[in-house]
This record gives sequence, C-alpha cells and structure tokens, in this order.
Amino acid sequence: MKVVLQHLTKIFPSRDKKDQNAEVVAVNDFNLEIPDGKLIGLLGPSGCGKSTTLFMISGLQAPTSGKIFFGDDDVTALAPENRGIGLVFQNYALYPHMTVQQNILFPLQNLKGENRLSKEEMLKRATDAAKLVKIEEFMNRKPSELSGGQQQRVAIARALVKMPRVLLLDEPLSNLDARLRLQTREEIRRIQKDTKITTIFVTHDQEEAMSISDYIVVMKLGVIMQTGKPQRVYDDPANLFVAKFLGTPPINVFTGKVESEKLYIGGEAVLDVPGAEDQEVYVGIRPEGFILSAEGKLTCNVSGIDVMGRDISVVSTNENSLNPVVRSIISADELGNAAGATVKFNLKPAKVYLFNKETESRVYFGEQVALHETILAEMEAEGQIYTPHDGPLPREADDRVEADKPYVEKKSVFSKVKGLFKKNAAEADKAVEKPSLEAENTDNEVNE
Amino acid sequence: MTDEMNETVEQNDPVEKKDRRTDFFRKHAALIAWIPTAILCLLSAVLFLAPIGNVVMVGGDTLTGYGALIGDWMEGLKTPVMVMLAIASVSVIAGVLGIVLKKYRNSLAFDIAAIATSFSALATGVGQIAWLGSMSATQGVTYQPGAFSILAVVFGALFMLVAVGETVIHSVWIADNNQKALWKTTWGKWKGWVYLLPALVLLAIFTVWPIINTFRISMLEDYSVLAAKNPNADPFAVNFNNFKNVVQYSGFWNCLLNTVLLTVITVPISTMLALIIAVALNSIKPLRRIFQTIFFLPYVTNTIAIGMVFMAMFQMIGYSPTTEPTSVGVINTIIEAFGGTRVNWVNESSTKFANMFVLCVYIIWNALPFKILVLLGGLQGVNKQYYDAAKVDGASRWRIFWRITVPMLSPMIAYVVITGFIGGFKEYNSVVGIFGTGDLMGPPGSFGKPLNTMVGYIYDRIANNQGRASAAALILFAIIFIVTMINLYVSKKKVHY
Repeated sequence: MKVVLQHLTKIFPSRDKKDQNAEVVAVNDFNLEIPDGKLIGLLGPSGCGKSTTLFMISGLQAPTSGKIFFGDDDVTALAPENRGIGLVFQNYALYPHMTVQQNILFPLQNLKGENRLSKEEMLKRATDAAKLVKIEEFMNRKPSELSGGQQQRVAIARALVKMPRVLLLDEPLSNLDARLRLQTREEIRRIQKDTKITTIFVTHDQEEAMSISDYIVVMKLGVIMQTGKPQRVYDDPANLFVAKFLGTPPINVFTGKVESEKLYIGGEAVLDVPGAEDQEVYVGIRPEGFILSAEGKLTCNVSGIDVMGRDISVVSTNENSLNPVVRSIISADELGNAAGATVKFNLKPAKVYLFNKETESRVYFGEQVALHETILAEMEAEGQIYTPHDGPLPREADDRVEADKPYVEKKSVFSKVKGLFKKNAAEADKAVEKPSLEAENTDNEVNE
Repeated sequence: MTDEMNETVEQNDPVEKKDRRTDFFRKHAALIAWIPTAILCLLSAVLFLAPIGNVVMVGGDTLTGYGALIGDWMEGLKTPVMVMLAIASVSVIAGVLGIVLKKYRNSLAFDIAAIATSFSALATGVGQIAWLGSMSATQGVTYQPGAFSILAVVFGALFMLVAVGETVIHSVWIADNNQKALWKTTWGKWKGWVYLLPALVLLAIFTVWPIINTFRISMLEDYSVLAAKNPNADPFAVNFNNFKNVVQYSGFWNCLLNTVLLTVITVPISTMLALIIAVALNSIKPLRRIFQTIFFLPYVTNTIAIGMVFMAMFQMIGYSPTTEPTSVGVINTIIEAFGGTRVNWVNESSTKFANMFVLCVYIIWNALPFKILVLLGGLQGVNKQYYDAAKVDGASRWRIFWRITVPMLSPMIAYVVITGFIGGFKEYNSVVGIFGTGDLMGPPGSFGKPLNTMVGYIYDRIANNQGRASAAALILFAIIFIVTMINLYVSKKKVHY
C-alpha cells in the first residue's frame, strides 16, 4: 500500500496562555510519497517530529492541516481502527493481564460484522502470526514472563495479525540491549520482506535506520531534510545537517572558502573544486576521506592514534575544525609516515562535501554534480517523490546559537551559599563553564 | 576552584561519611532516649491525677471519695513529687540546652540528662504504684494503677537502659578502636529493634493485649468489669456459654441479618457506581476538579450529620398513623410532584423494607467518595498507551472498559470490595444517624431495636455483660475473617498482576 503525506502539519498549541507564540510546530509541511511494500526509516534527533508523524499516520493524533492517503483512500479523518494499520509502541504496550495468545487475539476479537472470524480462524491467524515472529512456544505466558526481545516480537505479531495495510513501528529497538538490537532489526527486516507490508519505523539511531531501511527520511525540527536510499544519502548529503547526522565516526567539519575553483582551509589550498563558485563554505570531510601524504596540504596536530585493527584512526586537531578533534581513518599500512607531532593529509574529492555558509545547503563540484543527477534520476524512476520543503530549511547554525551560549552547570543552593564565603568564587564559576563545541557535538556521539 | 574540589572529595569519602553517620546515631540514640521519656515523665508527674481518675472510674467511687483521696495523696507525697518534678525540670532544661547548644550534643552532660529524665519517669511511675498499693492496704479496696503510671515505669526503665548503655559505651568502651568496630557491628545488628521498641511496646499495650483479652473474656461466663473488681464475688466459670447465649438470643439473629443485608446490597452497588463515576470523571477534562470535589464532600462530612440530613429528606413532620403530616421531606415532595403517592420511609409504623432502602441509599452514598478516590487514582495510573493500543486494535469503548480498564483496575477494585465488606459488617453509624439515638435503632414507636446491627449489639452488651460482648465481637470477627478470605481467594483468581 502506497502511503502519501501531503502538506502534513502538526502544531501543538501553546501551554502558556499568556504567550501564544510558544506553540510548537512539531511537523512542518511534510510531503512524502512512500512506495508500496518498502521499509522506510524516519530518522532524526529527538524532538524532530518523527514520532508525531508516525502517530498522525496511525490516526492517534490528528494533523493540524494536510492530508494522508493510503493508496488512493484519503484516511486523514478516519479513526485508527478503520485505517488498517498495525502499530508497535516503543515500550510495546502489551496488555499485562492477557497471555501472549490473548494479546495477539485481541485485535481479531474486535472485528465486527462481515469481517468477524470464527474461533478456529482466529486461532489459526494468531498461530500464524506467532510463527512468523517465532514466539509460538510462549503462547500461554504473560508478557511479564518474557524477555524484552520476546515482548517486542509479540507486539509485532499483535500488529501483524489483522493483516494491516501499513505497519508502523515507534522506536522499536530502543528498549533492547545492543546485541538483541542487532538481532531484532534483522528480524524486522525479514518479517517485512516476508509480509511485503509497507512499513514505517521511527528511530534516532542512524546506524539502525541505514542498515535495514529501503529508504530513509532524515528530519529536523519537523522538516524533511533529505530522503533516499541510505547509502545514497550518506554519499550525497543535501545539507550540513544530514552530513553531520549520518556516519560513525561523525564527519569532520571545517570552515573554509572557495576561490577560483580552489578550496582553501586556513589559507592553504587543499583541493581543486571545479565548478564551485567563490563563497564562504563549511567543508565536511568524511573520516575515510583523508590520504596520509608527505606533500599533503591539510596540516593537523596529532593528539592521539586509535588502533582499531585493520584501520587506524588518527585523532588530531586543526584550528579551522568545528569539531574539537579531527578524526581520520586510514589503513594500517600508511601509518609509518604519521609518526610525528603534525600530520599532513590529501583529500579524496568524493568524500569532501561543501556547504554554503549561509544556507548550509550543498555546493556540488567536479564529479559530484554528475553523481547527484544520477541519484535524482534514480529516485524518480523508483517513484519516490518528495517535494522539497517550501522555504528555507532549518540550519545547523540555528541550533548553534543555542549551543554557543556558555554552558553553566546548574549548581545546588548549597554550593551557591558556600560560594558567598569564597574569595575565589568567581574563579570557581568560570571553571564549571564548558566549551560550547562539546555540547554541540553530543547529538552525534550518542549514536556511536 | 581547588578548594571546592577538595571539599567535594571530602564529602564523597566513604570513611568520612561513615563517621558522620555514627555521629548521627549517637545523637539519635540520645534523642530517642530523651524525648519520649521527658514527655512521659512530665505527663506522669503533672497529670498525677490520672491514676486516681482511673481508680474512680474502675472502683465507682463518688466525687467525695475523689476529693478525700487527693487530700490524702497530697499530704503523703508532697515531698517526693516535688523532688521528682525538680529532677524532671532540670533534666528537661539540660536536654533542651544540649540540643540548642550544639557543642554539648554529644557530651556526657547530655547523656546524664537523658539518664536523669529516664530515672525521674521511672521513679514517678513506681512512686505512684507504690502509693496506690499502700492506699489499697489502708482502705481495704484494690486500686489498679493507671495507664500513665505503667507507661512511665515501662518507658522509664527502657530508656534508662538505653541511656545508661549509651553513656557507658560512649565514655568508656568506644574509646578503644577495636571495641569501636565490635560495637558498630553489634549496634548495627540490634539498632533496628531498639528503635522499634517504643512502637512495639505501645502496640503490645494497646492492640495485642486487648485482642488477647477479648478472647479471654469471651470464655468467662457473663464476665463484667464490676464483678471482676469485687473481691467477694465468685470467679467466672470458664466455658463457651457466652457464645451459646449470644446465638440463642433472638435479637442477635435480627442484628446479623440486618448487617449481612446491608453489606451484601451496598458493597456491590456502591463499587459499581464508583467505578462508573471514576471512569466518567477520568474521561472529562473541563469541570473535572469541581466534580471531584463534589463527589468527595461526603468523605469529609460527619456521618451522623449526613444521617440527620438524610432523615430530614425522607421524614414527614408531624406524622403518625392517625394524623396527617404538617410537611413532608424533599423525597416525598418529588414523588408527589411526579404524581406518585408519598411513602412512609422512616416515620412511625413504616415498613422494614422502606427503612432498609433509606439505609442502603445512605450507606452507598456515604461509601462512594472513598471508592471513587481509590479507583480514580488507579485509573490515572494506567498507562495511556494501553488505550492507544486498544484503539488501534479496533476495540469498542465497551470492550476497552471490560477488557482493559477493569482488569487494569482489578487490584483497586479488590481493595475497595474487601475494605467495603469489612466496613459493611461494622455498620452502625448509619442506623444511629438516620434513626436517632442508639436506644431506638428503628422508626419511632418501634420496639426491640428492629434495625440494630452487629456492632450495635456488641455495643449494647458492653455496658452490662462484657463476656457476651466479647463473644459477639469474636463471632463478627470470624464472619469478617471468612468473608475476607473468600474475597482474597476470588481476587487471587481474578486480579491481574
């Protein structure tokens, strides 16, 4: 079942009666067409509106404006039970007083009129669903007697048993431990492939989304930043936010400028950028985009070397880097040259992305132009249509304004009182302030 | 900066923390020893009339005797009482000073104050008991010591022990480091019990002993306190005749029937109503708090007062079987407004059915607020996601109510049903509230207390025959016990998680 979202917007009214401007735009003019039978990952940092979008598709929340279509049916005004959806909640919401079997049977028992099934049919359907997720041996247990992963599978079986047109998963893996998470995401992929049900799942974990989705939708502040196949989005980020959000370790961002088709970082011309116009840019370089070379143009101060087996991560600093450290991944063979206080890099043009400093949207150069066009053509051929957001996209810099404020640790009343008696109280205050860049980077580091 | 860091480190140092904790316990032990004893000591010293009051009550002496006793007592015990009061005051002042002036808190002076206080409490209690003994000897009547004297002796002795032990341990034993460790483990093992002791003693005196005593008295045929106090009376026969007499008395079966009827009718109805109201309250947003307050009002209102209002609502003023009423209550006014004929609810020669109906309405209304409160609390604790999930699963409101809400609330429902049954079997106030004084227990002009309940029966017997009252109380206890066991058994099967 194809799912189409047209100009979907959700505004939560202001809680503060005095300040009507405090309303929250959770989802902002969301346009997306999801092809039939695909697994879609809605990806974004917390508070980006991905769960709200999912709940609007499920019908549990009503959109402020916009329309939702399943196939050709407009389901915007339909109640959740009439939409033919299966929903798996973040903490599963299994009914604690029912056994696994009763949980799975519950949606079937609610069917009315001509859809009503005989008892045997219900049992058969429930057993089939249980077999699909491999929990048939736990049918008589209560949810509290199951492990997290098993509960998760029961929740999926309950969502699948009524043969939904669309399956929705809200952070399905966030309550599982790391190992189970890997296992379960493969399981979700397998179930989705077996059933061929259009599946939308929400996650803040880019690795999770990249590994199992057919397509990912990267969101920020209620706006789609980019959609596409995971690898394509990784290789061809449309803006600085997407570039920074995807990839482990995260992309290295430098300030630089383009002058007469050359890219300058800190006064040094580090790369030829044919086709790029002169402008101030942010330079994003993937960790794998560095080549160690004695004649390298980009010079960094080495602060450490992490050996990760086959690869080696050189941790260094550069005054033009926005990240506190520059992380480059090189193969172990090259390491011999790097022994020293400084290290010099050449750059791989395909792994270097330029973003206009004002809009933070991508500046394509050289072979990247052709690649971008190929990808666009490919998307159109596959029928993923998304109309770009009307108006400027939220920028990284918007966040940075918030992050650039000095971070002052909240202190207890006790320490404040103590401070009064301290000669060096002012000094102590300064000491707890943290550099703003660290705060800015936490979002990506959480995912590692 | 460094100063602050150092201090943080100090605070987190486990050794440092432990020492502080020990200090805290030292303070604590002394406080525990001191405060209750000081209070009791003062109470028993200042309220020296209490034991005499007890004597008067138990012995049935007149006011003249009372005055004479005080006169005697004052003459004989003036000096010791003054001494005791002086010791108590000094130790109270010392203790207060010890607390106010922080630096003396752990000092020996404070420990000694605690010992002095305990001692004076002990001495006051012992003195009073000894005096009562001498009075008994001279007057030829056995006087029982009052509760204050006994408490003063018990607590005085107890805290004296603690205070002396504390002082010895602090000043002598704990000086040695090895001993300190040993003390810590020993103290750690027993401190829980030491702190619990005051509560345990109180429980034993006011809860455990009365229960045991009830069993004892129920076995003594026709026991009464007055006869028990009379040294010349025959001892009571030990047998089951109290139970036999209670069961053979026809009024008892009427009381039992009334109680069972009231309980069996009101508990299910009030629980269902409360559930419906709680669910309705939970599903509305505007005016919810106002409704909540209104539904809760009966809970904070005096039951007797509510009963009188109910009586006024159902009553007909100036009615007798031969005369027309001058005015009728609001219920009958409404019935007449709808074209019905008025009902004699509570007046003379009203039927038992009408009486019971009024009682049931009253009890249900009275029982609602607590049940609504508990169920509403339970409802608000149910995760909203279950309702979302049920909605997505296509369950109708009715099915959501029976398949999700009721099972989720089952622990609370079980709780209100069990407490409802227990409360129902103890019903008494409502009858008094609506039908006036405890002597009538029925509509005007009735005889033999037709609406009396089990508790009413027990209450009636307490005045003249404590043996039968105890037996009836035990029968009621057995009924409540069995019903509660059945409730628990059923809820084990039906209550989820």
